[in-house]
Amino acid sequence: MSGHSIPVSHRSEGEGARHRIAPPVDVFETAEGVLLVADVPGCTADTLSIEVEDDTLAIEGAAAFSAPAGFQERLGENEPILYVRSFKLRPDLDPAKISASLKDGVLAIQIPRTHETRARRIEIRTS
Amino acid sequence: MLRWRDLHALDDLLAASAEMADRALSERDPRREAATFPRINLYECEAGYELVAPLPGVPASSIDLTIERDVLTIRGERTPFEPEGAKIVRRERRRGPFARQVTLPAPIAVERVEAAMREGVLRVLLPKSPAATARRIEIRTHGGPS
Repeated sequence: MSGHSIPVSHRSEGEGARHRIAPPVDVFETAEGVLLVADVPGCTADTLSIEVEDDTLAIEGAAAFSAPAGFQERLGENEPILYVRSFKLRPDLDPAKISASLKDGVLAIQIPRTHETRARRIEIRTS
Repeated sequence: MLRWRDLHALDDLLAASAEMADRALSERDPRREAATFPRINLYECEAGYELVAPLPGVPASSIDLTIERDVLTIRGERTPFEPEGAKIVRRERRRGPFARQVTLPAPIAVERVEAAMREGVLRVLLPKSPAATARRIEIRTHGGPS
């Protein structure tokens, strides 16, 4: 199997009654490659997984906006959620070098281009 | 065979299947959801309420939280991060100012309200005002002692 997980840890929560939703994503083309930014509020590194298999990048994350102990629900606009989204990676991107970070409920995934396809400054030799 | 739109660095592999299924299952595609932000959960116990609101990417410092008697107002602005010099390929995350007002079922002890932010989720603990908590009412009787 050519797939591998990047170190955002594995999902540990159950996903029984969760609503599957596609998180909104911003995508940027940078000098190094592609930056993907997704809103996944309520996810921790433990409830989020990012997997690359062949040329597919899959994000999955669980979040619950649950009651503190002893509290009853009066209004519930946020159900327990399973964020699910997949992307096809362009052939010039390097799936082996993906890195990810999570902050304030926002997931940022950096996907560098392969060395051959990265922009490079060409020296002009003078004689 | 997948065809690439020129501008898209990435494309949803499952756009035609999984995401449409998501939509059918939940009717809740946040990319199409504009009006209500933030979405709120409200929990109650005898002593008070806890309000829970996902606010991804909004730093606590840019949230304006006010409480007046039984009305809580959340205001702020979403300003998504954009790397300098990068080309925008896709922009789905919402931006701009937001405001939401919630009338709580009982008056709040405003001086004891506490708020915290974790993993992009705001939690506000709202103790009920002592005047609003249950109180035993004495029933006066007329006439002299029997």
